[in-house]
Amino acid sequence: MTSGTVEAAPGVVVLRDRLARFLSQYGVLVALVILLIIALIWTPSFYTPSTMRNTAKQAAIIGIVTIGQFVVLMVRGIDLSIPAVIGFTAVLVAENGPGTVPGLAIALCIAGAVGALNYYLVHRRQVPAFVATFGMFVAVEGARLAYTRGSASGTVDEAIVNLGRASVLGLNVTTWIWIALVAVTWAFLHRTRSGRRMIMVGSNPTMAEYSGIRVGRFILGAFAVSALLACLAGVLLAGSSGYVDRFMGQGSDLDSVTAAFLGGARFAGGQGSIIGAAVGSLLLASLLTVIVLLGWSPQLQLVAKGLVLIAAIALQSSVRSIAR
Amino acid sequence: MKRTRRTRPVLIAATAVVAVVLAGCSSTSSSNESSAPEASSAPVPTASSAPESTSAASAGAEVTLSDPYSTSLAAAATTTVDTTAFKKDAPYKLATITQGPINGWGTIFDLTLNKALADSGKVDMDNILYAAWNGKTENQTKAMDDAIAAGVDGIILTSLSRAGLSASVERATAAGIPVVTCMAGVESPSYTVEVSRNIPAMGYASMKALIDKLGGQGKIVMLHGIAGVDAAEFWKLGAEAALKEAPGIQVVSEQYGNWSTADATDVMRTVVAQQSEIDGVWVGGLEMGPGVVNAFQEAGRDVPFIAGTNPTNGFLKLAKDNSLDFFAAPFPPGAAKACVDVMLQVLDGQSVQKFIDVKDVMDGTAPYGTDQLDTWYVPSLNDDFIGPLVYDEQFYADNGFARK
Repeated sequence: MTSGTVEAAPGVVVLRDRLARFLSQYGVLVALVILLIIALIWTPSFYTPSTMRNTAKQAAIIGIVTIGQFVVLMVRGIDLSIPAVIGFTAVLVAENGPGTVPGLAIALCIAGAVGALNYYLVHRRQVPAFVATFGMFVAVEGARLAYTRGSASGTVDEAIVNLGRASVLGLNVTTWIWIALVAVTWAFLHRTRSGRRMIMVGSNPTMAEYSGIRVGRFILGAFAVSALLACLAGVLLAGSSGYVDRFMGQGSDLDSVTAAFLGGARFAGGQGSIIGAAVGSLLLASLLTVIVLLGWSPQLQLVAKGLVLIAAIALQSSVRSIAR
Repeated sequence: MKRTRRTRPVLIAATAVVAVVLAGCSSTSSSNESSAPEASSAPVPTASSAPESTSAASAGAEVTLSDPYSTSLAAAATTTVDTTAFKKDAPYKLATITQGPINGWGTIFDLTLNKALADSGKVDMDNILYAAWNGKTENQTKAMDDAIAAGVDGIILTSLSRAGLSASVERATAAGIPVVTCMAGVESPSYTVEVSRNIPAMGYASMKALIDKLGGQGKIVMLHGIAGVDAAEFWKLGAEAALKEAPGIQVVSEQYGNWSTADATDVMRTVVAQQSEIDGVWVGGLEMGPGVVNAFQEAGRDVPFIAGTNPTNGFLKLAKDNSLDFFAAPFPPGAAKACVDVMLQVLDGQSVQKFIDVKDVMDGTAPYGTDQLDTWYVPSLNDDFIGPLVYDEQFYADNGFARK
């Protein structure tokens, strides 16, 4: 038993703790840098402007819903209704929908209602967020199916396609929208009193309540932001793809949770960095691009994606425990 | 002990990364050694005879492949089933266990099935036992058990799991209930009749058309549906069999697009950006066609020849609007009517073939190329409609398929 408890020299301990703290804060960035180095060595074509632009656009769609997921995780929730909101929005703005402007209006109303209902179920009725938002996912998916009668595919209005594909200063508009939203969210969380209160609500809701903070308002805000950003992602995804089908938004719940976790968010609430979550989104999109470029077999792509993500989060978790 | 606990997750993570990198290296090297795609878990079949035609424009250039599924279908096609034991007087009490209206294909299938049953005048429409898959094999196995317990006269089954529904079909047959598998069968030979397309042959025919179009030389991309799903893997199997005969064709990229336009667009954007030369694209499920076309158009490149399976009305519209050159092997949901016809023959005690290829009993189900686009594209119906028309356009328009 004593063989495993060899004490390290004090200098080594200090260095190890500093490294652990660094990785705990910037682990996802380090993972991204490693991936980019691998890409540089094995698939230099990753660095062509069009590939990088496409990767950034893909990251932006994941990133926008990740912002919503991040703020919900911040208040100890989780939002699994995101894919349904994206899917319904995409169907509503398609050319076989009610028309672009009415479609957008209806989509916003649906998103608002989903956010409010999620809040009501989770906060007022004390239904676990996992169950409440999954139930909402099933209900909204069912509503979409009833509305489309199983026929969801179609082209998208040119204005939305132009929005999804337009570029400014070499980057897609979707990417710029994502960057702006990340900046706004960062500023809200770290530069406003409300933001700091939101972090407190997640860290210790009981203390927040005793401190006079209206906890429910922040939970309502988090779910509303998540649903509205899912709605925005639906519009941008429809524009980017130029075509809508029943699979729109599929997988965005798990992608957004993964990216938020890579940014340090945890179910315990009040943790994580929105910048880290954004880098996590970029890591996910870059990973997909690199795997495609490497020409790995389709089966191996899925294995690789899963293992790399597990590895990234396991590495981050382990250095966190050392840092503590 | 403390240090061991702390370092264990790091070791696990490091091991996982190393394993992925090593696996990736071995995969990369193997794919560099040969232009043929990597083998799937199922054996890659070979064609047992030369195709009838080598022209991409000539429809129906299908062959019998040598994989177990194709050979069992070939044997069933020459087997006559004596159905006198199933003969009953109308009205019949039936169970219909289908995919369900989760997409255009499933919705058209159910609409056609119900109309064919009602139009026959021989089915008790008030007591049909209907169950949909809705993503779970268990829903179909439970429905099979319910149908057996209810003592129905016959079951029309679209099995979403060849292995998962085998035992259920065996139980139904043992209970004296005929089972007509419709557009998706089971592994067990216990079914009464299978009405479907030869699915690997569709993959073969479409890939063969692409190979012929390129004169046996060129670089292509393969885009599959969802990994592990029967239709996707069988189409892949047939396409790989055709590739085995074409050493001059190089598969520069092979991806899964999950039958999703968004996913197909994402992977094809990356592939198109990387590959400066793509002579053709093979698509296992042409509902992903818009993603392929978008990726080329966004990159400002000409859309190459597209060959694939299951052309939707949306793909045909895209082909018409963009003057695309293509070849497609249909997988028609309208075949539900043929399944009803066969079930009625079985319950009437008529002899039937154990396997009926839909292309032999329905127009517009044999593979076709660009020259037949106007014949099979239906402008008045929306992108999710999948032809050919079995009933008039108004019927589908009234049931949610009208183009707005």
